Amino acid sequence: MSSFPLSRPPTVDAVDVDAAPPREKPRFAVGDVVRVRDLHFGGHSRCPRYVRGRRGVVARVDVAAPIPEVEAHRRERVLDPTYGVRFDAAELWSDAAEANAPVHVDLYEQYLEPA
Amino acid sequence: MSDDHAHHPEPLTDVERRARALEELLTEKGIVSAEFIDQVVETYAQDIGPMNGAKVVARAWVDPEYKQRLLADGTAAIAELGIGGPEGDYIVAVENTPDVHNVVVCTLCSCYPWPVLGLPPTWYKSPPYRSRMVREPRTVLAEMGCDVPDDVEIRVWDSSAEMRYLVLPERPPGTDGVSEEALAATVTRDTMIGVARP
Repeated sequence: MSSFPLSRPPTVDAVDVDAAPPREKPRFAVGDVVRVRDLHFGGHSRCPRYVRGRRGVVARVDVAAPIPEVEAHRRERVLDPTYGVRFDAAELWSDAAEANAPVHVDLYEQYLEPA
Repeated sequence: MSDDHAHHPEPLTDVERRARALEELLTEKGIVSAEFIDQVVETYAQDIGPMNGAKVVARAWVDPEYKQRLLADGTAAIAELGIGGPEGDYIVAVENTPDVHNVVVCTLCSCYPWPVLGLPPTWYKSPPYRSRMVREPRTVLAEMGCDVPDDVEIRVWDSSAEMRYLVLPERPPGTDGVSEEALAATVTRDTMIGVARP
């Protein structure tokens, strides 16, 4: 039997986790063009790698929910608004994109900036 | 969960061994009991499953006002039928039309609307489905036997945060006089994930 680490050694210090104050009031509205911040966090995150740095349009404003990075690494529930963001396939995959196949990704506000 | 029924069991995969190790640790530390895990699996395998989602879809097919409420607030409309629970706090229903086909994936793990569909099938949790469905959905759907015409937009929904998605398939043609119950019996799990069309 080969072995595997049950969990990887921590690569995140508590101080690395953004100590943003809780936010419940959404900063973006439906139709806003946003860009996903190109962050590379060394621990648990709910920001899919394939949308980092990409531009999308806010399609839905959803609930405020605990920031996953903070909850996982600091064991605190700090609220952040969440959104459904629509990305054109060409924005994500360039020439390899299939036509007529946009992707909606659900993202926390801390991942987004105005574009 | 016991799997000592086989005389020559398949060797466990890495993922299975990892799950087994976690389960044993959680049990050992008294955080969950083995019975609790069995109970959850049994409940979702037998009592809660795609039949719940099928009821929601059939109701939406026969009752246009219900369909409006479902598309406006999935969680509330589904609760009207007495359906709700873990992984179903925020359910978004997305409607297939002649011009739009919806399909659901969770690229980060296996988020899935448990109260309406039960537990996710193995392929839904597999890395190829999760990575390819966002990148080449039309190809993956065709491989799964679901041909979506080129002029139909495919909307992929990656449930990467709090929302869980239920696809509302198109009502099959020629079912005008069919009862709600009979319609519900025709709705499959795969059409509600969006990897099949009725």
